[in-house]
Amino acid sequence: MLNILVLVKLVPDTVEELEIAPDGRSLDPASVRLILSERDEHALEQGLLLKERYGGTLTVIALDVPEVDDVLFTALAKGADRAVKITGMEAGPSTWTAAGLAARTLAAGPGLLPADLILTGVQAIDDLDGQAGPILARLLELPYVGITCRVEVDPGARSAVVVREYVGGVTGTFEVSLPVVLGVQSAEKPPRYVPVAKVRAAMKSQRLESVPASGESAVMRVEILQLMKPEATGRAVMLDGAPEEVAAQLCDVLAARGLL
Amino acid sequence: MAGEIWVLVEQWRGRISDITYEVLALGREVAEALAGSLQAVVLGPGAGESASSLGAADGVLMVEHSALAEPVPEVYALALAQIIPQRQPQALLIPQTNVTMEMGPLLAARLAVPFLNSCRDVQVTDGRPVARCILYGGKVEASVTPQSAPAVFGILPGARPREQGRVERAPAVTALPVDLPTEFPLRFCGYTELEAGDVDITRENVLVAVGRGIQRPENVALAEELAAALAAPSADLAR
Repeated sequence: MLNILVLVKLVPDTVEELEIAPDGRSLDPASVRLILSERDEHALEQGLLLKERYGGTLTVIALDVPEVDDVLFTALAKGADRAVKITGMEAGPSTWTAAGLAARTLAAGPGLLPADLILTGVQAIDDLDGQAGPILARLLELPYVGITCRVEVDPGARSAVVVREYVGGVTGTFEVSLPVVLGVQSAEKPPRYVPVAKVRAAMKSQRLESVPASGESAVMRVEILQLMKPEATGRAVMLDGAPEEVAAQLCDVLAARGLL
Repeated sequence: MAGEIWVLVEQWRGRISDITYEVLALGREVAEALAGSLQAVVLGPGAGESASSLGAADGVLMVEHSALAEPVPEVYALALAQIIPQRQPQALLIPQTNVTMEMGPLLAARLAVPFLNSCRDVQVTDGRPVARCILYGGKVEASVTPQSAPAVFGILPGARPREQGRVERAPAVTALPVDLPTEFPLRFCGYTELEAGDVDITRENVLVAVGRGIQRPENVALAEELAAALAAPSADLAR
């Protein structure tokens, strides 16, 4: 029976136009709608697949930020056994601070550690001073494998075989002893869909647990001087006309750049 | 030794990755602005043999150990954590790729030093290195400075042209000792090539790529025709 923890976080939805706050160093909260980080969605799916394959319990854990209840109830509806929010911290831009807080709270929260597998997304779009997985692994003094795309566990041998993505279709295989922290790039299957009705049912029948953040908040070791929108290059050129004309223009563009 | 800027040489499957030269070119600028020396850090058995193209650096710091045969982030981070206190560089620039991605955070967590993620540039302002970091999928950029040294910077591909950092000259090599365990909780077992036909987009000069705009699978043939005419591989990016 595996004890699987999945740490997830919410990040700004980049479908929305993000605005910079008047202080120039943070996002305007009014422009931010939080959604589950894409890689964390894969971490949850990978965790659910492992639970289904080997048996055990899966606990999904997140910092208490707006919209987090929806995310946690959705995880319960998908098959997580417990959902825990870490309360009493200010959401900040620091992955280092958040991961440090999570590491200390895991140790203090009831029935969370020892875990066999701790999964999280390999990276998030708001990672500024680190990635959660490696920081968490170091603080808990556990091994870490990142960019994973396949995980097989041998519960008897207390070990796992983990496949990591490189480039050009090359993967690398690692054998690692449990417990381990994994930074998931992609689950073995696309994250499952759960109907809204099932999420509503989870809201009625299940409850979220709260664990207060414990320990001192780690100091952020980098300073944000300024946030800015990237400069628009204005280099996009639209080609108009009949297909033949567009093709001719495209050939000219490519030829002018020495590509033909 | 104060005033050193280090660049980690990324070696993968027997060759130095192109991004190493990009980061060396960037490191050269940072070292000059800080009036420091640029050191290329090479880890692995036979590390000394790789020095001949690292002439952009003033020196090569070499760590030879059998445990460093593959760039396993855990093991590399441990080795780096041992040599940094020996020389106290001001900054360590690490290429941020699928080979090296978590080396920086692992190292920074080990030494409790600052790490700056997804840097596309580092410039020196008022004597401090200031990085330009990509956030929110590129919708926002942050200028960020570390609050102490040594600081670790994860540098994204494309920071500088690689030709600028590739200099065929072998700088002086200094060997640094490390004391690594023989057993790790993590063991590298080997690489697997995926089915033929996959394109390594980092190694192609010309690439035809299609996204959702191609609309229908049958339209991919159009792009493939173009790719054939250009003698380029094509990649379906609409995942």
